[in-house]
Amino acid sequence: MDPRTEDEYPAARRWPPQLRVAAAVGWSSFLAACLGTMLAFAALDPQVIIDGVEGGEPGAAPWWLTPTGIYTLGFFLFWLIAVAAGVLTALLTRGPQADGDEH
Amino acid sequence: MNDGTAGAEAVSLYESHRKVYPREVAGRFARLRTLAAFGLLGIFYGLPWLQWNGRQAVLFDLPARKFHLFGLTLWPQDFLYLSWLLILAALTLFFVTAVAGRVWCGYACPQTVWTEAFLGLERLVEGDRPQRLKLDKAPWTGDWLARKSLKQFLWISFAALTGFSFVAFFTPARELASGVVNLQLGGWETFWILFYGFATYGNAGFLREQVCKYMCPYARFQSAMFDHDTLIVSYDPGRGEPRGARKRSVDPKAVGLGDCVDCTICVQVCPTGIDIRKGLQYECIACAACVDACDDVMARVGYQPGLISYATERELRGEKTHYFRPRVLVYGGLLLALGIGFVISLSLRQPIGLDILRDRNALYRVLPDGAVENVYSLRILNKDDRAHRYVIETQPVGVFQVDADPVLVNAGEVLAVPARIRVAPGDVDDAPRDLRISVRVADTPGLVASHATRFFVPKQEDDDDEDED
Repeated sequence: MDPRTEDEYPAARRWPPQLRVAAAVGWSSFLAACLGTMLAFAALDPQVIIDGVEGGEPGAAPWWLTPTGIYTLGFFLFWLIAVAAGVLTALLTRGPQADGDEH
Repeated sequence: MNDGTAGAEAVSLYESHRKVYPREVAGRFARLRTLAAFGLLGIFYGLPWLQWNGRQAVLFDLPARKFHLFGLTLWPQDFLYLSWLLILAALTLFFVTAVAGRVWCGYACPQTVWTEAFLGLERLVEGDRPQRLKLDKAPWTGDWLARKSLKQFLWISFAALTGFSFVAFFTPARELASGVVNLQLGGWETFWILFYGFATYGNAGFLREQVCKYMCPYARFQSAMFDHDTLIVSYDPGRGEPRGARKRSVDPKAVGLGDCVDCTICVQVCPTGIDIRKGLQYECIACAACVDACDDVMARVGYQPGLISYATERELRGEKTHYFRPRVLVYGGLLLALGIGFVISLSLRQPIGLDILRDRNALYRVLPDGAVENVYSLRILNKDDRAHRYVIETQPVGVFQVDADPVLVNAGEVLAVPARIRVAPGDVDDAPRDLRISVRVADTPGLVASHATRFFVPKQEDDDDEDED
C-alpha cells in the first residue's frame, strides 16, 4: 500500500478474526433461514397452527399469533438453528493447526 | 491468511477499523452506475404502488398465501415455479459472471446500490472526500454536530422508507401507509419495518464494503466461474510500470517510467478500498470507479486512456478473447433451456387446482337401500382472476353417482366442498375400487382438474387377494 494512501486512506478496514467468523456465520445462516422458511411455509399453512391453538374459538389465540407472526417466528427459529450449526462448525474447525496458522 | 503477509496481517488485524472515504468519480461507468441505482431504487420504492386490475401489481400476500405478479397469481401449490425462478436467477448470475465478471456486484447488488445511496446522502451533507476526512478529524463543534445530525436524520429517514417499502411487498401498500399515518400499524408489520430499516441503515451506512469482503458468499465462489476470457477490471502493469510521479513535460520513457503517474486516485475512489494495481483481488466488486478515475487522469496528463480497463486476462496478454467457450455455452444452454421450459410450463399452467381428502371417520357408509356411499372432501382452488362454476364428476362414469351440485368459487379462492359418491346396490360387487374425481370448469371447455382416489365398499371374500397400491 502506498504510504500516502495508507496514511489518510487506509484500504484495509480489517476485522478481527472473531468478528469475521461472527459475520460469516450470521449472514450465511440468514440465507439458510430464508430458504428454510420458504420451503417450510410452502408446505405448512400457519392458519393450521392458529386454528389448533384456538381450538374452535375464533379470537382465542394471543394477538401475536397471526400468520405474519408465525412466519416471523418460524424465520427466526430457522435462523437460530442455522446460527447454532455455524457456531458449532466454527468451534470444531478451530483446531490447533488453524491456531498455528493465525499466530 | 497464509499468503506471506502474515506479519503485516497480524498487526492490521487488531488495529481499529478505519473508515473508507470513497472519492467521488465521474465518467461513463459512474453514469451507468448512477443510472442503475436510480432504476433499481425506483423499482423498489415504486413497485408497491403500482396497480394492476384493481389490486397491487406485485404483492407477496403471505397471510393469504398467494403471490400476485401482475396478471399472474401463484399459490403454495405453484412452489415449483418459485424454485424454478430462483434457479433461473442463479444460472443467470453464473452466466453473466462467466462472460462479464462481477457486474452484478458493481451495478445491481442491493448492497452496492444502497451503499451508493447512503454515500450520496453523506456527500450531500458532509461534502466530498477531503471535506469528509477533515470533518471526521475535526473537533466536535456546532458545525460538526449539525452536519452529523443532518446526515443521521437523512439516513434514518431513508432507512425507514426502505423498511416500509420492503413490508409493502408483503402487506398491501395502501393499507400499510394508512396504518402508518393513523398510527394503527400491526405489531409484526412495525417489527419488520424497523428490522429491515435497521438492517439497511447498518449495511449501507456502516458495514458497506465489509459485507462484500467478509459476508458475501458470491464474492468467494465467483472465482470458480472466472477464466482467462472473463471481463475483469484490470490494470495493465506492462504499460503502467514502473510507476512514479513525473513532470508533465518529461517523456516517461526517457526517465524509465511507465504510464502510471502514481496519483493513487484509483485507490481513493475504490468503494472497497483496494489498490487495483496489485492485480485482481476478491474484494474488487468490478464497479469500474478506478477505470473512470484513471481515464480522467490519463486525459489530463495527455496519455492514452485504458491503463485500467475492463479487459480479459487474454486481452492483457495481447491475445484474442474467446467468447464461445464451453463454460459459456453450458451456462447459456442451460439458461436458455430452463427459461424456455419455464415460459412454456407457465403458459400451460391451468388456473384450477384440486385436492381430495377422504372422510376420516368412515371409509364407507351403507345406505338403507343397500347402496354404498363414500364421502370425500374436495378443495377446489380457483387460481384464475374471475369466478367460475365447477361441476364435479367421476371417471369411470356410469357406476358412480355424484351427489354434489355445481359450485361457484370466487377468483383466487379455495372452497371446501363435500362430495358424496354412491354406487347403487346392484353395482357394489362390480364397482371398480379406483376412481378419479374431477372438477370441470363449466364455462371453459377443456379446463379440468382430476385426482385419483379409492372407493371403499364393505369387505368381501374376493377382496383378499387384491393388492393395495
